Amino acid sequence: MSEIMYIFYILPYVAFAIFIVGVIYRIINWANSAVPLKVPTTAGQQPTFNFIRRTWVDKIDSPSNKFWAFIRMLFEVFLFRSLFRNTKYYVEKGGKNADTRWLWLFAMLFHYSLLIIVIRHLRFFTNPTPKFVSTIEYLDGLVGVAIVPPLLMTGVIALVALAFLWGRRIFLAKERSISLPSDHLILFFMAVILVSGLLMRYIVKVDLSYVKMFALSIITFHPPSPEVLNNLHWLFLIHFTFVCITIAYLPFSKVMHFAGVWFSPTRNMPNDNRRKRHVNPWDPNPEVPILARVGIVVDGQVFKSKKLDWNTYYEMYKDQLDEIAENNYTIKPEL
Amino acid sequence: MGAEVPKIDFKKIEGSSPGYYAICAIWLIICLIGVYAYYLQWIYGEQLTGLNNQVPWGFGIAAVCYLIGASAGSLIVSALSGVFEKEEFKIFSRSAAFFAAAMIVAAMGAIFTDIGNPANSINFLIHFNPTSIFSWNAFLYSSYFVVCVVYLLAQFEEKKFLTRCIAVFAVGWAILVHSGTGGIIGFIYSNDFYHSSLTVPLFIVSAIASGLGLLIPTYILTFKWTKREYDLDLLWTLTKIMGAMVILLIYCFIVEGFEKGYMPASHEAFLRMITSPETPEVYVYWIGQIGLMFLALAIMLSPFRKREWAIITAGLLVAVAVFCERYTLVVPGLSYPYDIFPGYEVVKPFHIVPYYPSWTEWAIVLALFAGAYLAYCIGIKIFALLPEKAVKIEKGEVKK
Repeated sequence: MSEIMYIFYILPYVAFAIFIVGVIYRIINWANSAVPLKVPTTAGQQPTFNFIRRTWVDKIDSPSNKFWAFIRMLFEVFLFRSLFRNTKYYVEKGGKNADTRWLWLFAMLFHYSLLIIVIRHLRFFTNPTPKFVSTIEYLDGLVGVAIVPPLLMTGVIALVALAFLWGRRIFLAKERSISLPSDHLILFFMAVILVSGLLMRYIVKVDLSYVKMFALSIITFHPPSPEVLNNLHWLFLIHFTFVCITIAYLPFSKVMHFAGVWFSPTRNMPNDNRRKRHVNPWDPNPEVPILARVGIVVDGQVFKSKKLDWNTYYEMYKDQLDEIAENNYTIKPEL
Repeated sequence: MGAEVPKIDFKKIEGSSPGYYAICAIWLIICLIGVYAYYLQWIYGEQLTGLNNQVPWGFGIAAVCYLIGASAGSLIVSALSGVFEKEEFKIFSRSAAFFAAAMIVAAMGAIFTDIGNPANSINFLIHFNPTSIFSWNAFLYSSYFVVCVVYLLAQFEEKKFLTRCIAVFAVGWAILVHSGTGGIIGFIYSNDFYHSSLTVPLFIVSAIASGLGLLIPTYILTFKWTKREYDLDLLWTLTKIMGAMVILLIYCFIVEGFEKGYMPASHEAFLRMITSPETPEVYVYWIGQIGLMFLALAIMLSPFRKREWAIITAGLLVAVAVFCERYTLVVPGLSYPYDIFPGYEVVKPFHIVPYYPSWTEWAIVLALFAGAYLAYCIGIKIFALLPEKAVKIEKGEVKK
């Protein structure tokens, strides 16, 4: 046994340090970014006359205040609503939008399987294992009890979903052309982690007691004994190293969408453009409206106004408005 | 060559023709045969190989040396633009770096398959020995792969300065890694067949030769089959570099041959090796190593040298010849007996243990090569590795 094995004990701390510093840096960076315009995208009826019906779906899709915008965010984060609406335009199919909700399905399966897998891993980091962790593991293995150890569904589902998500980037021509190397890199990391984990559970059986001792020593900041380090399986070390690499890589990758989604302006802004004034943070003098400072140029003439009242508007578009009045306010479409 | 170089468009290949799938299928089948051979070796042990007590290093280790060499060679090609400011070779920078990464993975695969039980692969850490070059090489190889990947990512992100820094570092690292590999063989003092300080620089030279030998045919065929415009002059320049390396190699062989034939400790064994056909080494040496190199050199000097087929043939011949060189470097030193305790009389008769690689070793090594090429075929489809036009661009005008 040599001291060099202790790099596996130091590795997770280094990875987590990079992760935490990186995530904080990116979140602060995003939080400091100006949102010069109000740009919520909507897909529902906004509040207007009382007799125009507005269902709760409209309230989510066109939130009128911060509360509903928050509800919308929750739907987005937990149910991937905008991905559910995803369609793909095919010129070759007569300009029809094809249903690509299978992407939503596999994304859901992958993310939730991963969540349950992470919760299940708590059994290595806690002693004694909390009740809910064992319950989740029991429920997870309910379908696959035919083999020993029980086949955990989430592992299988995550692998299948990952195969679809990666296969989509490899086999579909459009997705392949827009895929960047970093997209493949993170999928590769996930694949290595998943496959090595499944191999350890079902095929190359690993002595988990040492793994748990090792995990506990990391959590409790007590360096593991040489005996523990010596008995760690090579496959576990691959699994563990790749997990650490992935954690350290996360702040630099697209996986930061877990934090970025909360900052996406099209999702997190309420659709109240006409009721509340959105002040551009880049505006050096927000007290005075832009119209009063700069004005609008129509026909080479500059019009300035505190607000766009009827008189200014009439002055600006005098010719056209008079012409409309002459025609008794009947507007004919230009043919 | 100034800084004002037109931007090169790297583009993914279409990769939907039957020919593309056929090539991928061929590589995949070779890979699967290799996987099966490794499975058998895992189940039945290394008795399936031709290795024995006296010759524990065989075809697999020769492949390790070769693949690491090819990797270092490709990386140097990739860095021609970044380090030496040969901007006309920037078109190869991405694909050659990818090739280098694929080759180093194949090399580590060769070690992995050679050590038998995969659980042994962790022993370099559990029984870490800071005075052993093997322990160092484990770190050198894995870090070299990481350097290759970071170098590639920096190129994909179009970070010019970063790419340049990493290119310089990567070339240095490649030479260090390769010297380390050469050191494994050359620094074995107890074996006079191995012990030679010439081995290390020889490794670098043959690395460049073999890397170019593999890359040149690969590029010509890739550009031809993907119907992309390319300039044979560029590849001819690379071929000339390869030719210079071959001449240097032949010179080194002569020097080393005389030295080994002259040294009292090894001259008997060396003469037996190059004269008597007791083991296949004599054919590998004369036909494979020396013969093919002279043949390649003859093609490169012939009037047809600037034809496509001539360049492809010369490249492949050099690639095979360097493999034979690695083989004669690794195997004869074990196959022919050596003084274990110099100065003492050892009760051990002078007898030669021939080594013939078995089909499993062939299958595994070929599968590693096929795996690297399969990675290349898939890589050029899903990453923007290849330029749209591989032509020399001079001051905004395209040279015909």
